[in-house]
Amino acid sequence: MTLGQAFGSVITAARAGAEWAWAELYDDLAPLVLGYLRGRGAAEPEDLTGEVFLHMVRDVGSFEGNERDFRSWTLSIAHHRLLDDIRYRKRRPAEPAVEEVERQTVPGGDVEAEALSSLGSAHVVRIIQTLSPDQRDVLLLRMLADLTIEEIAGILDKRPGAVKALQRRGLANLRKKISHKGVPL
Amino acid sequence: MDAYQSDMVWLSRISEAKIERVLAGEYTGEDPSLHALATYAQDAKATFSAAPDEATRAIHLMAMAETAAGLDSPPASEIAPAPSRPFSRAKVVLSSLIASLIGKIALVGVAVAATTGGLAATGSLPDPAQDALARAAEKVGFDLPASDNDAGVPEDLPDGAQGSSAASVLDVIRSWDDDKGCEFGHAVATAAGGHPGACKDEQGDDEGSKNTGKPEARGGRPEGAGKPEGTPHEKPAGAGEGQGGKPEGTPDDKPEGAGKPEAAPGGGSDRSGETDSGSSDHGDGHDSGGVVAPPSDVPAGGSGVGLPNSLPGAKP
Repeated sequence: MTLGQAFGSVITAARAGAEWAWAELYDDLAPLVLGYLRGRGAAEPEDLTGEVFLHMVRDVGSFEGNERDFRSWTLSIAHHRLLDDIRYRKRRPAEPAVEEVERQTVPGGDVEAEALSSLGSAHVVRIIQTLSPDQRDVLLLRMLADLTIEEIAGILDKRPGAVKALQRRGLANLRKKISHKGVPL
Repeated sequence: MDAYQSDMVWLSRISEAKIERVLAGEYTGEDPSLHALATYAQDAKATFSAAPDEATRAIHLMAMAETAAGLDSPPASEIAPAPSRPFSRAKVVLSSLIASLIGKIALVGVAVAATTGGLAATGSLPDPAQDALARAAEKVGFDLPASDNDAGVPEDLPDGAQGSSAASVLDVIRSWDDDKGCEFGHAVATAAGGHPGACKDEQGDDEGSKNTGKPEARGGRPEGAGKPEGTPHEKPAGAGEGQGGKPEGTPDDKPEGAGKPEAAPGGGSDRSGETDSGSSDHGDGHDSGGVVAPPSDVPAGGSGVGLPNSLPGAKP
């Protein structure tokens, strides 16, 4: 949350169509949205991120709440947009391979990719992909967006108890994978 | 205990507060497993927090600006925000349904009006409707033909009826121009050879049929009708009933040419019920012109004005 006190004026200006306000919101939330979509294994996370923000522009008039609510609302759009994309791609031949996802997590050229890979990002991606989609949703939203159980339950249309159970099972699976694969931490 | 159960047991021993710290990458405890998970969380944040590159950012912002600019002119999403869309759609469906319903009703109304108007213009409607429409149209300046109810007096008598009481009855009817009330009925009944009772003025108001201006002939039983039973006032109450004089059950229950007398002049009106309504302009006993042919078992020459109440099959 980087907007803080300015959020009210920014959202008002964005509703009025001010480009600077949309740029502020984009810079604040795009990394989060893109990271969530990458972690969930979206085939084209950048394209989906753009669609999420276009959806936001169209529906910002109906939004009510504070900056935290706006973050949840944005991630809710991203989640539903991702589900739409997955349904659409199920009618297509193939899901992207893990290598494709790993490549997508690397912004920039090969040198940067090697640097990130040395830090274990490829292993991070590989491990998170072993979790179930629901567990990935919960853990990514918890780790990346720092959302509460209740907020995640609202985004995923699940009960808080179910989200909590998914979180525990996801953590147990992560622990097992980390210990087995010897992820360089 | 398998690996999954051991994992669950391990997790169950971890408090929610510890889980929160692990997921935030801030765990500082001594549990190596939790420490590893917290480190993984930190790496995940670093890995998945990369911002879009500049080219992607520029494309996205340009698309957002175009979309926002497009919303300035007819902002459909603002005019009809998402929560109200189902209602708006239902409203449209409802209004179109109502419109089509009203349209159908109006169409049916126009069709009925056109059909009725056409029938009225040609005088083909039933007599009461034709009369009512003709009166209504006359008030608004249209001239529609009225029903030909006044065609009840025949020009000639059948051969068999010549010289009988029917001729006298016909004479009375022809000679009686106006005020066809009780006296008229009385005269017709007398001409038919009956013994009519007195009119209201003479007898008082103990006769219901007379209170309505009903012709005396209702009670006057024509002797020539071949049914001498029953006195003229044998059934005074029946005189006030609409179907009292209808010769039901007779072979010629509904003779052809009703309203157009062919055989028996001065025959009983099949609309005697209308005369019972008390309407003064229908109290003449034959005003409707619905002169029925006499039943086949009744001599033609003996038919009088007003059907006898005691005819076989006559309704009580």
